Amino acid sequence: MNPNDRCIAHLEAGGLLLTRDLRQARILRRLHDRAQVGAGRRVWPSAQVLPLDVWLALQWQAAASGRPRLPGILSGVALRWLWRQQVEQGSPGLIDPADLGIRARASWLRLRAFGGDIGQLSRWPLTRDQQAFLGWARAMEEELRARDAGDGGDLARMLVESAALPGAGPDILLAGFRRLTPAQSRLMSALRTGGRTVDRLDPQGGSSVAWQHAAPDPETERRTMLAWLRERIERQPDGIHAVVVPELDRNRGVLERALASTLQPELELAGAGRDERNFDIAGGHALATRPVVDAALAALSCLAGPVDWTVASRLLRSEHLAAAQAERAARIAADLALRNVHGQARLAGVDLAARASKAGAPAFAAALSTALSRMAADRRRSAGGWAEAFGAGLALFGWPGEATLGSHDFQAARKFGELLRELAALGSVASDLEAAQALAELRRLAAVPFQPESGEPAVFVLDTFDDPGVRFDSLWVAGLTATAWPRAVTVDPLLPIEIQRQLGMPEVAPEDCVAEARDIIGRWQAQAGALVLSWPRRENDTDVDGSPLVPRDLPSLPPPAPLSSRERLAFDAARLEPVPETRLPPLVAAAVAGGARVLELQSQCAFRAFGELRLGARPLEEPQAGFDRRLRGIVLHRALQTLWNGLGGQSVLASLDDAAVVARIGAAVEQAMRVAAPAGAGARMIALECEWQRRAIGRMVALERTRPPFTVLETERGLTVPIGGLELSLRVDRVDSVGEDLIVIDYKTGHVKNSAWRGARMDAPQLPLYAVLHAGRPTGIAFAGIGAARAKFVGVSHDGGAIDGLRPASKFELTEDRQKGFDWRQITAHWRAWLERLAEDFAAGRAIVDPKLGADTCRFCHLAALCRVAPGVPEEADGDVGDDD
Amino acid sequence: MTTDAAVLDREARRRAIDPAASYIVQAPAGSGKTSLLTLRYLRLLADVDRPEQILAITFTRKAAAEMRHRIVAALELAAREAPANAESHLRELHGLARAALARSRERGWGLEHNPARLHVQTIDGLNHWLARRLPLAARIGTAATLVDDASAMYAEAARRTVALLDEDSAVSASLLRLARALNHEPRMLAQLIEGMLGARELWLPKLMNSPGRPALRAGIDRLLHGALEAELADIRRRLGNLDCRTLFAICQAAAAAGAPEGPILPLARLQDLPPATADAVPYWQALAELLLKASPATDLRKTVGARQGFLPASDSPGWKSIKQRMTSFLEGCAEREGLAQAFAAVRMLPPAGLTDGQWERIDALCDVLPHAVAELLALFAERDTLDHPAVAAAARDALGAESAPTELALALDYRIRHLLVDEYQDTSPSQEALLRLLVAGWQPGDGRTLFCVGDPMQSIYAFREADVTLFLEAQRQGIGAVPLIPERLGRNFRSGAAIVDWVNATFSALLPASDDFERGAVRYSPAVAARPGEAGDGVRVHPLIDADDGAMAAEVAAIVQQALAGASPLPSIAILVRGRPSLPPILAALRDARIEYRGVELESLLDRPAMRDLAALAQAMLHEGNRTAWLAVLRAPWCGLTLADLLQLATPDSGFSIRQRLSDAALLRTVPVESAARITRLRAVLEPAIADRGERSLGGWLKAAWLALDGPATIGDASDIANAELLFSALDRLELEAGCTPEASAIDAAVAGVMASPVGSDAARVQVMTIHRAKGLEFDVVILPDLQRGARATERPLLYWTPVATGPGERGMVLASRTDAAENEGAADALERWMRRLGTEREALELGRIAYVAATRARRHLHLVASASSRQTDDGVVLRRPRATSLLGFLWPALSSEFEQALAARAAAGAAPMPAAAGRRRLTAPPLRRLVAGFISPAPPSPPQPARLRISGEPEGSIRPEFDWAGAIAQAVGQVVHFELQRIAESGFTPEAGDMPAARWRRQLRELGIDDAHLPAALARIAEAMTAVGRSQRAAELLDPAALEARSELALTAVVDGVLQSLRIDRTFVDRDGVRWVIDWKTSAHEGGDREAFLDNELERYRN
Ligand code: SF4
Repeated sequence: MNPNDRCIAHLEAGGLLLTRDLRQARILRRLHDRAQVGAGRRVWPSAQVLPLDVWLALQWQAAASGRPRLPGILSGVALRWLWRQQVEQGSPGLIDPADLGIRARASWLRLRAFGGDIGQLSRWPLTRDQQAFLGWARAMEEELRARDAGDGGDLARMLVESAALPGAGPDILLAGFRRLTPAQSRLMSALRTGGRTVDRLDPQGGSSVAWQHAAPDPETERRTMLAWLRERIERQPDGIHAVVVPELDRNRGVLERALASTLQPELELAGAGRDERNFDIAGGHALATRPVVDAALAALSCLAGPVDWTVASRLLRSEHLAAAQAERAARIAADLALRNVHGQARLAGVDLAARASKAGAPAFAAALSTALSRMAADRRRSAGGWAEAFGAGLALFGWPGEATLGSHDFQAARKFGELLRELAALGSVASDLEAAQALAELRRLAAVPFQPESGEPAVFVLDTFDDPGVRFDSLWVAGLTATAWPRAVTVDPLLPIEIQRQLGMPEVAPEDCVAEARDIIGRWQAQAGALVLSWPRRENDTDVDGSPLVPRDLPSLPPPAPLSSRERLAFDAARLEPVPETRLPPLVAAAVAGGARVLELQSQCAFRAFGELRLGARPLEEPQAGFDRRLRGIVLHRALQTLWNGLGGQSVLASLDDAAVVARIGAAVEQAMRVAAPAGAGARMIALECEWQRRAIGRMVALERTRPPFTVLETERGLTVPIGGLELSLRVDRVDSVGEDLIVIDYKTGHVKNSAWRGARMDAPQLPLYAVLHAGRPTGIAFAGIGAARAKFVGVSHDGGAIDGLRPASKFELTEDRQKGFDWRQITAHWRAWLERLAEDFAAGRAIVDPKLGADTCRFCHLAALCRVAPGVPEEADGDVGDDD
Repeated sequence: MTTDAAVLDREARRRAIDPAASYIVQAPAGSGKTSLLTLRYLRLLADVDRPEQILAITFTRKAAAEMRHRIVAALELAAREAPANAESHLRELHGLARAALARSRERGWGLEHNPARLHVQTIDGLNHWLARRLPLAARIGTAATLVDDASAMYAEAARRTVALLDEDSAVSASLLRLARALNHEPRMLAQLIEGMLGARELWLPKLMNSPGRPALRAGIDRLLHGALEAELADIRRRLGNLDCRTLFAICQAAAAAGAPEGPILPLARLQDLPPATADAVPYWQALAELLLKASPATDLRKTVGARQGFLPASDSPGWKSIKQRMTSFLEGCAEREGLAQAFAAVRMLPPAGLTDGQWERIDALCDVLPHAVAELLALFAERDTLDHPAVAAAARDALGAESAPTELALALDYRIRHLLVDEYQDTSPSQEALLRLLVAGWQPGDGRTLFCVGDPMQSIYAFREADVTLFLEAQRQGIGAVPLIPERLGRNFRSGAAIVDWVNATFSALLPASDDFERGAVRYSPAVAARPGEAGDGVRVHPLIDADDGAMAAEVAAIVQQALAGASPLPSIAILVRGRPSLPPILAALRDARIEYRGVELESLLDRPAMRDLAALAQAMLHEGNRTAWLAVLRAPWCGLTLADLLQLATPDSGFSIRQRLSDAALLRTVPVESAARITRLRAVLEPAIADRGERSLGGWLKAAWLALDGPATIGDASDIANAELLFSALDRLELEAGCTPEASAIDAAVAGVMASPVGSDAARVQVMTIHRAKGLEFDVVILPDLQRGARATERPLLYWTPVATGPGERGMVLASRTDAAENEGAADALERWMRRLGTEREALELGRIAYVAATRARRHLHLVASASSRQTDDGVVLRRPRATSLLGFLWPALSSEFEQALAARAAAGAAPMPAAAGRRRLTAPPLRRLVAGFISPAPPSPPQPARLRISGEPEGSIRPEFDWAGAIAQAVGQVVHFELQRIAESGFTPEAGDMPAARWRRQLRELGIDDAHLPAALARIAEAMTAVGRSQRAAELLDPAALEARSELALTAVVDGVLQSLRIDRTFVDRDGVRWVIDWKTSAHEGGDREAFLDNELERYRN
C-alpha cells in the first residue's frame, strides 16, 4: 500500500500518527483532510498526527499532572543559559561560549538518546575538548538534579526511566523514522509492553519510475529540475511534489525566485507576496533579518544604549516605528543630516530624539523619548521584567507601525511577540540581568529560522538527503556529486569516537555512510511516484563527478520542454526608441550657488556640473571618525581670518614675540572651533584637531614672517562677479599688497601645484577667476599650502617677485601642452577666455558627458548611474584628488 | 645531453613516489606535477591502513577536484586490464592504481563508492575541518557563518577602535599618538586599521610573538644595524677594485684649494674606500653625493660644480685642472657597469637604528592593532560570523597546544601519515605555520612522510600573502623537524622545443642568478623539451611604437584571426592579461572581428549598464533621500526621461525628495504629456514595489520591482538576465550576512565585487583571462598583449615588517611604522623608504615570475604584443625605457632590439612620430534609448493551479508587542484551569492529598513561564477558580464523567464555506433530556496559540 494511504487509513481509524518533524506532520494531516473532503465529509474528528517530540512532551505533562514530583521540563532558553554557564565556568576565556554551550547540549542529548551516560566517557582517553565536555556535562547534570528539572530533548529516556509511560490510547504509527534511536526503541517496546500497538512505516523495495540526469552546471540543473516539476504538476495538479536541494540556505533566494518564476509567475510581481504560495521551502532565514523584527531589535538596542549610526539610520527610515507616514520626509531629512561626514559614528537615544525633533519629526522624537524613560536601561531586572520593559518600550516607540502589515510581516511580528514570553521564561534560571544581557538573549531567540506560511503547497523543497517520510508523486534530488553523496563522516568532536561507534551512532565510519546512503536511495525509489537523481558536471568552474551511488542503469532523463521566463519574454519583446533629448533650458536665474565650484566641476566634466549643481544630485555620505578635510578647511579659514584681521600685515607680526604669536594663533583657533565644531564631537577629537590647526597655522605664520613686508588688504571678502552670463559669488581667502604687487591668496590643506591652472579645463579655476575679475587687477595668484609638515607658497605673478615660491609669468606652463613664455597680460587673457567658455557652457546647459581624465575623473564622482558614462578602468591613480576649501 | 636529462628526470620521478621518504620537488612549468602527485597518492594508498591517513592539500578547490577526479579515474581504470600497448607512464599509473584498488578491496574501504574518503582539500577547507574537529581548542563559535568578504566588519571594528580615542581606554593614548602621526586625522587611522585587519594573518603573529617592548626595540635596532652593515659590505663588494685613490687625491687637492663644507672635505681625509661600518656612513654618503646626480638619483654626474664645492676657476686658477681631473674620473666611472647602481644603493641604506619617534609609533601600534583584532573578534561573536583568517587562527590554536599531536589523533581516530602539499611556492607564512603544527612530533623513520611540490619560479601570489622564501627554506632545511629531500624535475612535456629554448635563454638571463632568502629571489632552473616542436612553432614579438589601445587590440585580433585561419583542428588560443584594465579594448576588437571568446570574471557587474541601473534602483528603493539614485531611476531606459524633464522635476531643489515630487500633480502638468505618463506609470509600479519590502528577501524585492518596471526589456544582452540573478543573490547574501537591510555603501561594494557571468560558450576556441587564472592551464597559442602596462603604486600602510638576515643563522623581523606626517616634509623617512624599497624589490622579482608563468602556458606559439613609446631628443627620436613595473620593463633586455628595429623601420618609412599620446581613454556616454511608450512585457503562462482547501486562521487584527505579567498570568491561569476541568471531566472530582493540586499547579505555572515572584498570585487565582467549580452544582453536572457520549477536548475539522477549520470543543455530552451540550470554558482571555508549533520550535532550536 502507498505509505501515504496507509497513514490516512491509520488516522481515519482513530490512530495516532507520530512523525519526525512538524513539516511532515502538516503534510500528512493535509493529505488526510483532503481525503475526507474527497469522500464528501463536512466534519470529521481532527487527525491525530504529531511530531514525536511534541507528543512526548504532552505525555510528560499528562504524567506530571498526576505526579507533580516528576522533574519539570526547562524551557529552551533556560537550558541554553545553564549550558552556557557551565561552559563559561568550566573553560574561561572563550570568545563565544554560547555556541559551545549549544553544541555541548546537543552532544549530551545525543549521548543520552543512544543510551550512553557521561559516566562511561572516562573509559576512553579523552581529548581536551572531550574532557572539558565531561566537566560541563557533569556540572549540568548536577544543576538539573538540584533544580529537579529535565531537558525536553531527553524525554524518551525520562519517560521510560521514571515509569511515566502513558497507558491505554490509540494505536501508534511511526512515519518517517528510518531508524529509531535506542532510547526511542526502548520507549516503543515499553509502550508495547504496556499494551499499546506501535507500528513503524517502513517503505522499501518500491519501484518508481526513475531517471538520472547529469546537468552541465548547477544553474542548468535547477532550470531543468523546475521545468520537469512544472510538467509533473501539469500532469498531476492534485499531487504533491518535492525537490531535495543541498545547501539550501545559501541558495534560498535564487530558488525562491526560480520557483515563483516557474510555478507561479504571478508571484513575481510586487504586491503579490501576499497571495497563497504553491510551494514551501524548508527552514528559513533568521527571524531577526525580517525588516519588521530588525526594526524591533534595532529599536531595543537604541533604547538600551548608544548605537552605531547605521542602526540609528535604519530606525529613522523604518516603516515600523511611530509616525512613519506622517513624518516620512522629516525622518529622511534627519537621516541625511546624520549621514553628514562629520556626523557622530555612535549616538545615544536622546541624541537621536533631538535630531529627529530638529528635523521636524516630533512624533518620532516624542515616542522615542517616552520609550527611553520607560526602559530605564541602566537598571537590572529579572528576565520577565525585561520582557515587560521591552514590550512596553516597543509599544511606546510605535512598533510595529501604523500601516497594515503584510501577511509575512504580520506572522514575523507575532512570532517576535512570542519571543518576549520565551525571554521571560529565562527568569526560572537567571535572576538579575543587565539590559544588554537580556537583549542578547532576545537576539539569540530571534535567530530562529522563520518561514512564513501561506496557502496549501503542492511543491516542497527539502534540504537534506534523507527519507522524506511522505510519498511524493514526484521527487527530484539534485546535487548528487561524488563528494556530496555519500556524505562524509560526521563525528561528534565532544564524544570519544569509540563510544560513538559502540553506541551505534550513525555515520561515524565511512562504511556506515555508504550503507546509509544506499538505504536512503532505496527509500527514494520506494516512495516517489517519479524520481530523478541529478548532479552538475561542473561546479565553480571545475569538473566534478557524479555520485558513484546513483544506480548506473537508470535511464537518462528525457529533457523537459524549456520554459520561458518573464525576463526572457520581456527581453525578446523589447522595443526601444531613442530618448528625444531636447535642448536644456538655459539657467533662468543667472546666480548659481557654488561659486568657483561651478567652473571647477564644469571643467572636470560638464555633466557632473549639471548633475550636481542643477539637478542637486548628492551622494549619500557616511559619518567618519573625527574631523574631515572639509571641516578642517572651514576651521582653518576662520582662524586665519581672525588672525589676519587682528594683525593686518607683516609689520605687526614682526613686532610680536613668539609667545604672543602663539597666543594669538591659539585664540583664533579656539574661536573658530567654537563656531564650527559639530554637535557631539568628543573633547579629545576637538583637542586633536585644535592641535593640528595650531601647528599648521604656526608653520604658515613662521613662513609669513620671513616674507618681504606686506599688508593684508582683504580677508574672506565676498565678491559677486559676472562671467559668461553667470553671476558667481566668490570668497577670496586673502589679498596681500606687496610693494607694487597685489597677490590673491587661497589657503589649501592638501597638495599645491600650479599645474592646477593649466589649460582650458583647469583643475582649480578659483584663483584665475579672481585674477581676472578682481577690481584691483591683481598681479599674481598663490596657493598658500598649509599643513602640519610644512607651509609653502606656490603661484605665479607677473615677475615672480612678491613672494618666495611664485613663478614669473614667462616661466609658467599655461597651456595643456605646457607651452610657456606668456606674459601676465596674456595669461590672464587666456584665463578669461577659458573661464568664460566654461561659464557659458554651464549656463547654456551643455551637459555633455566628458570627464577630463576619463575613468580617473569618474572615480571620484558618484553620478555614473545618472550620466550613464560607458564603463572605463582607471589608469594609474596618482590619487590627486581635488582639495576642499 | 637530452637523453641524460631524460634519464635523470625519470629517476627523480621514480624516487619521488617512494612512500618511505619525504620530498620537496621543484616542478617547473609543464613538468607534469599533477601526474606526479597522483602517482604518489596512489602509491601511498597501498601503504596505509585507511585512506584518510593521507591528506593532500591543494591551492584551489579546482585543483582539489581535479586531483580527486584523477585518482578516481585511475582506480576505475585499474578495475580493467591495462591496454597492452600503453605507454610506459600509463602502465606505471595502471600498476599503482591496481595496487591501491587491491588494498581498498582487501580492507573494505569501498573507495569506488566513496571517493569522499580521499582527503584532498584546500587549506581553507582543512582549517575549517580542523576547527570543527577541535571546537574548544579553537576557542571560537563554529556554528558561525563563514563570510568571504568581511570588509564591512573590518570597517566597523576599526571604527569602534578609533572611537576609543574619546573614551578612557587603555589604548587611548596610543591611538592619540598614531592619529597625530597621521596628520591628526582619526578617519585615516580608521581606514588604515581597517586595511590592516584584512591582512592580520601577516602581522599579528609578529606582534604577538614579539618579546617585551624594550627587547623588541633593542632587537630591531640590532637588526637594522646589522642590515646596514651588510648592505654596505655588499656595496663595497660591488665596487670591487674601483681605484678611489685618484678621487681622494682630487679631493685633497680641492681641499687644499679651499673647498667649502660639503662632500669634498670628508673624502679628502680618506685613503681607501670607507669601511662597511655604521660610523662610516657619512663618508659613503659624501661619495654618493659627489658622484651621483640629485635626480635621477641613479645617474652618475658628468661634471661637477659649485654645488658640490668645486669653485669656479675665477676663484683660484688651480680649480680648472681639479675640475678637469674630476671630469675625467667621472668619465672613467661611467664606463664601469654597475658602479652607479652601487653608489645609488648608498642613498637607500637603512638607518642604523630606530628614532624615538619611530619607536613610539611602533610601540603604539603594538597596543592598538591587537586591540582592533579583539574588537573584530567580539564583532564576529555578536554577528555569528567568521572570516577565513579567524578560522585559520582557530585551526592553529587547536593544533598549537602541547598535547596536540595525540589530541588530533584522538579526535580523528587515526594519525595522518602522509601529507602532500601542492603549489608549495604559494604558501603563506600562516599556512606554513599550520603545516609545522601538523607535522609536530614526527620522527624520522616512523613511516610518516611529507611531500611538497611546486615551482618557486611560479610563485605569483604575493598579494594573497604567498611567500616564496618558504619554498627555498624548505628545500634547505625541511619543514619543522621533517627534513625534505630536494628533487628537481627538468623535462617540459608541454611546450615545443622552440618555446622551451626561448624561455631558457630569456629567463636564465633575466631571473636572478642565485636564490636569495630575504629578497625572495629565485634562480632560474632550465628545462628540457620532451616534445619536439613542429615547423613554424615558437615565439613572436609584435613590437608596436606609440600605439594606442585600439591599435594594440587590433593587432591582437589579427593574431587570433591568423591562428584560426585554415587551421584544422582549430588550436586553443588564450589571451592572457595581467589585469582587467587591459581588457576593454581587446574585447571590443574581438567583438568587432566577430571572434567568439570565452571569459570568466572579465568584468564587474557594475561595468554592465543594465546592472548599474539595477543597483541604482536598489539604492533608490532603500533610501528616499538618495537623490542621485532617484534621478538615475527616472533616467534609466525603463522610464527614459529627458534631461529637461529631470531638470523640471529637480528644481527648485527645495528639500522635497524626488519621490515626493513624482506625485505632485501640478508639477506633472509642466512636463510634456508623454513624460508625465511615463512618470505616472513609474510611480504606479514602484510605490507598491517599495511597500513590499517585508514580503521578500532583498534580492527578491529588487527583482519584483525590476520586473514590474519591464527592466529585462531594457538590458543590452541576454547574459544580463544571468547577471541580474547574480546581483540579486549578492544582495541576498549581503542581507543574510549583515543580519539586516545593509547600508548603501555596502550594497555598492558588494555589487562591484561580483563578477559578471562568463561570456561565450564553452566551445569557444579563444579564452580570455588573467595570467593568475591561467596558472596550471595550457593552450596551443598564447597571446600576451599590453605588456607595457604598469602596476598601480601601493598605499603606505601603518605598519611595515620585513625579515632581515644579518648573518648566517641570524634572522629577525624588523617592524617599522609609517612616517609621522609632520616630519620629513610629509614624505617617508629613511626607514620607511628602505622598507618600501625592499617591497619594490620583491615586487620586481615577482614580476619576473609572472612573466615566466605567462610565457610557459604556450604549447606551440607565444605572441608578445607591446607598445613602446618614443620621445624626441637632441639625438633624434629614441625609445623610452618601459616602466619598471610592467612586464615589458622586465623583458626589455630580451626584447628591446626588436623594438629598436621597429622604430628604425618607422623612421625609414617616413611615418611621422605620433604626438605624445594623451594615453587616456576618453569616455563618453552612448546615446540613450528607452522603452517605447506603453510597452508592456508579455506575461508568462501559469501552470494550472489545483483547487486548494483554504485554511482558516489567517490571523487578523493588530500585533501588540506588549508582554505584561498581568496578561501572562491570566493566560497561564486559564490554561491550568482548563486542564483541571478536563481532568475532572475525565476522572471525576477525586479528592487529592492536601498539597497535590497546588504542587501540580505550581509546576504547570512554571512551565508556562511564570516566575517565582508571580507564582503566589497565580496560584491564588487558580485555587479561587477551582473552589468555585467545586462548589457549583452546575459544574458538577457539566463535568460528570458518566454523562452520555461525553467527550472532552474534542478536536474536529470541518469545511465551512469552502474553508478548512479546526475546531476544539472543550466539552460535549448528551444530558438526561437527550439534549446535546457543547461547552466552551471561559476562564479568561485564553488564547492557546499554536501549541504544537510552539513546542516543536522550542525543541527544534536546540536540535543539532
Ligand atoms: S561619472 Fe564621470 S562622466 Fe559621469 S558625471 Fe561623473 S565625471 Fe562625468
